Amino acid sequence: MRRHLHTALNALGVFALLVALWQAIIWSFGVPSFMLPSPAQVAITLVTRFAPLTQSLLITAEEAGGGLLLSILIGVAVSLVFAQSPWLRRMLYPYTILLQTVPIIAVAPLILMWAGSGEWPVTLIAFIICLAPIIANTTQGMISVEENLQHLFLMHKATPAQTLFKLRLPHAMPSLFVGIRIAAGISVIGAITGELFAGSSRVGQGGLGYSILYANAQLQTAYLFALVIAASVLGFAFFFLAMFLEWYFLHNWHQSARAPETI
Amino acid sequence: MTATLHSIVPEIACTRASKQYRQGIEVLRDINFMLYKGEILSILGPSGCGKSTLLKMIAGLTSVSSGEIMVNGMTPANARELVSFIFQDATLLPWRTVRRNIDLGLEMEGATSERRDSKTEEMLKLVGLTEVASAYPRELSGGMKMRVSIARALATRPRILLMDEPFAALDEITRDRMNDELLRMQKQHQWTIAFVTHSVAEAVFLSSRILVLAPNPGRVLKMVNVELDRENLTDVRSSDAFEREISRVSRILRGAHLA
Repeated sequence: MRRHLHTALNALGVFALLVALWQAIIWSFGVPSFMLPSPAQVAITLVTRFAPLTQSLLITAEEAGGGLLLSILIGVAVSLVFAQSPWLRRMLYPYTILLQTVPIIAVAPLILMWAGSGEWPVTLIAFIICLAPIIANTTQGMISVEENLQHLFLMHKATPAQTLFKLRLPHAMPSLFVGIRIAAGISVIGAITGELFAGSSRVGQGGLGYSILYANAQLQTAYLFALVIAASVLGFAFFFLAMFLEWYFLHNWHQSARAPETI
Repeated sequence: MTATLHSIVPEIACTRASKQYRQGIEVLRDINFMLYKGEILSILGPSGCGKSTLLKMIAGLTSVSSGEIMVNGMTPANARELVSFIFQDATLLPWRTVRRNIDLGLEMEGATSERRDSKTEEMLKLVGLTEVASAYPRELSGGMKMRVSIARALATRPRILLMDEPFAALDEITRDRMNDELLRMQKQHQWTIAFVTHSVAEAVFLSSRILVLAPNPGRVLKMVNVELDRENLTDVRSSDAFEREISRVSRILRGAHLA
């Protein structure tokens, strides 16, 4: 508990230092507020425009969360197939890597062109960006089961389905959560990237990406900062939710989830 | 071994069994022995002589390149329900509690939950782990983990136990205690056991016969009959006969290192 408190105080200290540095730059160089608003202006904007900010944040959260959830479902299903069939894995695994290397910003306009406008294509973009880490990590966890454990299941005359669901899948859980943690952060990036191209997904209101474009065009720099902070908060929230789920499912038996303070 | 026992089908029959890997490396050559019901055979030899490979061949976990291994008159793969394998490390599933590790084999068999529960309780009592039934493997000591592994192996009521250095990682006192427990349970249930070990004392204490292997490639150097009265287990280790048998087997084993 003391250790957690110490970590939190350290983080707060760094935050205070950064804010002070920010204010010092404005005072020292006389930077105009449309270029760099003061911390106080940003704080005031966060309060006065809390409602539209929250609405944008919720839209992005919904899209990023949907994409993340879909990537977990599809990613685990693909990994189960890969673990079961080395032949299919050898044939299709390189395309998973390809998925990871394709710049999403280049693909996003195409997806929007094919899938139309609204929240669904943005969710699809978040899904695409999240899929590769889920498949790569889960497959690795499933195929790296120790030989003796495989022999144990063989001796018990386990069916392929029993080996898959009672050995390979639980064995891959720590790796799956590593994938989820990575995907949780980038799902928000995927959703915002999609929104930058998708425009307003609901009448008069879009997600953080759309609002960032809008604020930028209107030179509402303080609001732009507030949106960036909201995007970061959302990324953190997703990451910590993934960490909590990892702890919840693994803390009884896996080292990675038992000592979060060492991360 | 009596004539009556020899007239029945051996539990394990190894006839000129050899193992060669694809790269041409010869691991085992012409291994011959019979193991009958209720016998404990220890397999002893220098590192790399193929002891574990032989055990895996008996279990059907790796194929025989030439010769034949029969388990109760069947091929190893067809005889798996008669056999349990106990590995050097406990091979427990860390995500399952002690109880759920023990009932793994029963679950694979599709046993009813009532049968699984009653059998697991019986096994927990047998290995003295009832109080830690809900614990996870990470919470157990090395000796306790190995007892869970043994309980899991016994839960499916095997006739034959294949044990690959199961107590190698334990301290000497715990290892002696585990050997005592194993021998007591074996007397009661009349399991047939093939036991791989590096310890001469362990081999002498447990087995009626010891198969000494020589390396490069692994081959039978000698089948040693152990002459030891095991009526009173507490006195065995301090007896002169025990010391004599250890010296005798050690001499043979030294020969294996030179062979």
